[in-house]
Amino acid sequence: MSDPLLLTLGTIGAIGGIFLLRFSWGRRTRHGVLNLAAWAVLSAGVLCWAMAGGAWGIAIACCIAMLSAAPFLAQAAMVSKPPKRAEREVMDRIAATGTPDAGRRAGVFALVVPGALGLSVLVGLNGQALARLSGWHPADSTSFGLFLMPVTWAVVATFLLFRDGLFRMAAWLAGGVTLSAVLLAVLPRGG
Amino acid sequence: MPSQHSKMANLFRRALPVHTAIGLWAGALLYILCLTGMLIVFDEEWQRWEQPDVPEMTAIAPAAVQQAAVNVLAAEAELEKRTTHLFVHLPSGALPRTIVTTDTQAFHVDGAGRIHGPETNSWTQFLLDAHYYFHLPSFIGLTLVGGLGVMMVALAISGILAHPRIFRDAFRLRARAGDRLALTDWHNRLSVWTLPFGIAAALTGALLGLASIMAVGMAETFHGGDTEAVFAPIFGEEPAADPAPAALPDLAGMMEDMAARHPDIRTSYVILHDPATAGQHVQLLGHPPRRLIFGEYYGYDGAGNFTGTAGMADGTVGQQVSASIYNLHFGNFGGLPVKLAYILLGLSLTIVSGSGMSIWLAKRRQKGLPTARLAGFWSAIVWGTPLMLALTAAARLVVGGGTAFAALFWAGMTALIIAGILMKRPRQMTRYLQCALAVTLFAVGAGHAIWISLTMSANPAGMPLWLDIAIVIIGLIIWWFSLRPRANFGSHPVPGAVSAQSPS
Repeated sequence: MSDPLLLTLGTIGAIGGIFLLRFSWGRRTRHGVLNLAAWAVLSAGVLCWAMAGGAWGIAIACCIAMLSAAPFLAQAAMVSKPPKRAEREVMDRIAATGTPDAGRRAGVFALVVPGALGLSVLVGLNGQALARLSGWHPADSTSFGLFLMPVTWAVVATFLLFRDGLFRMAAWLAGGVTLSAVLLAVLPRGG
Repeated sequence: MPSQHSKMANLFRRALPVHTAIGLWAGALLYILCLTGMLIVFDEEWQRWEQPDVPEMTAIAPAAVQQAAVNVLAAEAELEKRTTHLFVHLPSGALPRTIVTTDTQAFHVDGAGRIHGPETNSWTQFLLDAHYYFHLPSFIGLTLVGGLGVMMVALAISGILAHPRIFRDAFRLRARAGDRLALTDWHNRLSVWTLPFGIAAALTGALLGLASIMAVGMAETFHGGDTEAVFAPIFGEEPAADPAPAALPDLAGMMEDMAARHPDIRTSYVILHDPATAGQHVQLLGHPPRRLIFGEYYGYDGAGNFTGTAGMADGTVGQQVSASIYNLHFGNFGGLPVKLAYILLGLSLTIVSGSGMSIWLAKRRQKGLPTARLAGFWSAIVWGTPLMLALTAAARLVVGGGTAFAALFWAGMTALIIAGILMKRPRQMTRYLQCALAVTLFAVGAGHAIWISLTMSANPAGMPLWLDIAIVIIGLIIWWFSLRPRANFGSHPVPGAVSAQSPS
């Protein structure tokens, strides 16, 4: 298939997929086939761009798809109405959780930010060490370690915040740090 | 034993406080990061706006590049320490100028390679530094910014978990349904529709920011403390230096060779390492079409022989991925259309980061907790940040490039935050800041347009004027926004509906 045709089909797919999603999600009841069709059209659009331009094409297709939703949001904003009274009362009843004290907040912050940062650095280094041991090219093992670290931090931070109580958070973090430190100490550095 | 359904419900219930906690920790800095990130998508355009009276060209002859290098090195002959690198930026669509940069200074050159004058883009650099490091020492600043990228990823994860209907409601926007409900809908809808962009920008930002701290760990663990050895497998090694004097290499010949080898590849930089020494070597940065990578290095030795590529375009997966991070983060991989898309998506992320705290303040007020000081603080962040950025731009035009922009910006921000907290009238504070921002933007845009019309007989590029028009229009929109009777983004919302999906 020629490039201009792929790019045209890809653009139509990226925009058309969002249009179909709007149509599908706007129905009163879920419609599995329509949902599937929408995602299939969207995926086909991204695939066309990927075939024409690889990662560059995927990035462009994602930009097109994301911005395609803007007209639908604008339309929704223009036709929106003030909420009914009953709906407002229900919303007003939603209670927020209690406010934790400052000491606990500081403790949670210490565990989730510097604490999880330390753990993620160790995990990143372990990832690199294991990749080196597995015979990966140095550029790949280094990139893997660099990539693993922030992803780990985000996951660990979210995971810790879901734990109940400071003690449990600290225990999970201490366990992770100990395990990672021991692993890094015993893994051979060569490769 | 709890059912699967109740487990999921419990997960969703717990996700909201997690989302809120991260948002409260990182909210203010994330907002500044998103706003500056959106602005620096246009960093080349800002550079042209800041210094419009510079020779512009669509291309430059290789012989002129050679002459430019000779002229700049001759101009630096009196310096005590010779430059170790010389970069020649070749004209591009976004920045149609030739700029020669050494270790200590940069010059614009004309189409014949003659020095036109120094590059004075200190305001653009201030904007870039605000986004890269918050003007902190680079290691600390980069780590902080990288950490904020991580928190953005965590906010995306917890946000999705906290709002089980977020995808099903993706097209629902109750913009007229009362301030808080509308704000919540804007927050949730823009979050969903910018999710791929938000995660890509946050993750690549985290990678760029945290690479320094990881490099230290990797160097200590695997390379005996040598941080250069960490990145050498990805970006290539520097050959051994030989300080013995030598004639400058034939840069023009290399550019001609490059054009003959790869006629479809645009060269954006000529990089001369250890110039005028026996160990000198040259890299040409080429841009293969339709690639995310920032470029490929084409190497030449001092005698002008082609030595190969670094592998950014066709090396290992790790090299290609690493080389793609920068462009994916800053949106310079598809010309003006992608830049404009990144501006819109970046604006959406800025609104998401700003509205999150506003929703939290509204709920806090609903619970009867004191909010006036916090709301004043938040108003100073949301509207004070663009105001102070606009004031630094005004200072650039009135005072000049020597202004201490970082000091002005942070001192102003500190004063506004203190005023916001002490004033305890956030709605008024917001209105004052919006009016001040509108007036400043109007003055900067109109003033700059008048200045270039009066001082430049022939405007070398229409682009600065387009930016001026955009600045004036944004100023007028904000003025209109400030006159609306309703509470709005960044202000102290009035009591009203709160969505079931809003951050608590």
